[in-house]
Amino acid sequence: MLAVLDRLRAWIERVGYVMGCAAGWLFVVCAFFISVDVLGRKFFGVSSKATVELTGYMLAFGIAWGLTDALTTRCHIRVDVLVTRMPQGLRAYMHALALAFLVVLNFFFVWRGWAVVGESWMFGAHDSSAITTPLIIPQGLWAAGMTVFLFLSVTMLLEVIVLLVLGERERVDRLLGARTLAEETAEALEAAAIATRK
Amino acid sequence: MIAFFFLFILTVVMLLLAATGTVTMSGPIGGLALLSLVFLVFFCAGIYVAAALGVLGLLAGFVVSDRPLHLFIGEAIWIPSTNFVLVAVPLFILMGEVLLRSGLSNKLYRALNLWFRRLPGGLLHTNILACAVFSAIAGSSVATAATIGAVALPYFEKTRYSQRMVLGSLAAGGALGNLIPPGITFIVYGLITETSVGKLYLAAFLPGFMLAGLFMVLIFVYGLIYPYREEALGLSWRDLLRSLLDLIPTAVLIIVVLGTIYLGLATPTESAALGVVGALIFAAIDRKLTLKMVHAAAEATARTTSLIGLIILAAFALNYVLTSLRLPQALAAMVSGLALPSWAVMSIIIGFYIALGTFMEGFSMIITTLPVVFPIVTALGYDPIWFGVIITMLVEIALISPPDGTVVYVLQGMRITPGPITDVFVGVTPFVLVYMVGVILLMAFPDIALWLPRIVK
Repeated sequence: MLAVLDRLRAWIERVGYVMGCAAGWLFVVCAFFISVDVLGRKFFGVSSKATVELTGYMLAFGIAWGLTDALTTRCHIRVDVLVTRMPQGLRAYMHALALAFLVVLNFFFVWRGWAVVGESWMFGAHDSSAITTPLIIPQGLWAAGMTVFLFLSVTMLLEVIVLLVLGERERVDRLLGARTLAEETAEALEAAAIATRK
Repeated sequence: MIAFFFLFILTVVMLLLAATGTVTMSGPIGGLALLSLVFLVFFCAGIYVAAALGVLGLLAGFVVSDRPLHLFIGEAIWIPSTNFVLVAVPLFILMGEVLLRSGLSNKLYRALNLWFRRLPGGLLHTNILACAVFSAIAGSSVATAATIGAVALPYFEKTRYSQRMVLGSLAAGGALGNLIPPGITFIVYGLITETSVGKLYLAAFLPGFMLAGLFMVLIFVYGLIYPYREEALGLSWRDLLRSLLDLIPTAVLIIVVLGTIYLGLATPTESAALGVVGALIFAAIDRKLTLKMVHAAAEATARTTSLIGLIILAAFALNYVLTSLRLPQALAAMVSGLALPSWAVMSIIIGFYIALGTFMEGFSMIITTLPVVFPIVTALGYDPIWFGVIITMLVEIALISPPDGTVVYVLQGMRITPGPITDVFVGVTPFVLVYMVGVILLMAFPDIALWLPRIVK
């Protein structure tokens, strides 16, 4: 049971990583797209006439597709001043509780997110930009991103519950505990190292 | 500790007011009080901020209203997801991530150092100035502190500067990152409160540089008390002027990003996009542009955007429910009916944020509280633009105030000579006090912020 969940989680995490990279690179594309559009409009009088809409979809895509990787890397913000000071036993249950709340939130986001897609599909909704994007494309991608996020949070919750039943509180803490100082600074240092490397 | 003490006092005051009949704890206000209590419990339990906001919204909808409010959450989160103004957030983050890896800050620091090293306080001035200048291209405080800190700390190796002052000044300089435009906090504030981000940027300009000036005065005085002179390098004016060449990339980026916003040539989102491209070009000139570097920047951007995004979406879901229940309006009406003068209420609000900031990350702090606090502020007759500047300053104070200041931890992690974290806390304290003086000045003279937006129309 535990091994299956563990493998499933690792698999979703890998998918999430690729999705996160896609989201990040789309922001790079987005920057070039807007820049070209601004310069084109100012100097040549040409524009895609759909920049506001398209970059908006890129943002929705980017937020939704990056969510999973942010959970894997424990980036989502919790107010954990008290939790980190609790004894390990209690802390493990608090982690489970936090995750359960996240699952509830995600469930509503995914459920209502797909409902938005469904409505757009039913009415054949298009946006009012020059290229009249059918709304189900950006909305569908957006909802799909949130769905993978829901899968990961559910898998993690199940894994945590199994671990709690088995009494392995330490492993729960390792799975969900706050990023240690070392982890966070390692990231900043790595980036700084790229900058100062000659 | 201070935080809990303050919140405790606040609760007691509220209870006293309720007991004396000044405030009636019924109807929507009673509901809101209950909600705030649930919220506090959520936070203490370490629930994800986004989950706490969203679930609270759902609960409020189920308990207080008989309409199926939760069915409209999809629309409520899709609309902010695609907001063009919000597109500026990932772009500014991306620009910061690229700049962090581009080596641009090396040049900036070296050039400024040649000019200011002989002042009393020496290199410490360079810390503040480099941060202030860098803030004018970067939109985040953590990025500013990390970028300048990485360059600055090696300069202080084997010098007699007090480690505490070095770290303190870097943290303080970093805390200008969001205040000096462009800043991400202003974008989010503008989005939630429907105020113009361009105007917010104009308003923040003078307060930002006023604070940088105050920091330098503090360092100057410190330098007079503990004199320590850098030896003269015997540089001619020619050398000094040549060093200015190193400032050109930074200056160009400032013009591209801030200049275009201020001159009305581009919206903040467009200038952020231009800034990303500009940063990539300068990285390429410096031969720092590699696929690996862009990939690392893109990956980090996606993560940060999603963590901010999830909180924003949840806040919009909550906001939708609260507004449907007309809670903020009721609360605003109650507060404006209080017998307290408006400056007293504002002081309580500011005290509340400072207290909250000691244990809560600055960014989630404003998204969480604005939907409720903002209607109160406008009901009291304060200018939304002015309040945007105040609240950003409070977020910055949160970022450097112990025990939960993100910037402080980043700097601690970057130290070359190891030492206890208390060094950073002690070092940053005088700067935090100066920051609070800045808030008081802005309360006393709102025109420091409001003058520029008024004359530029």
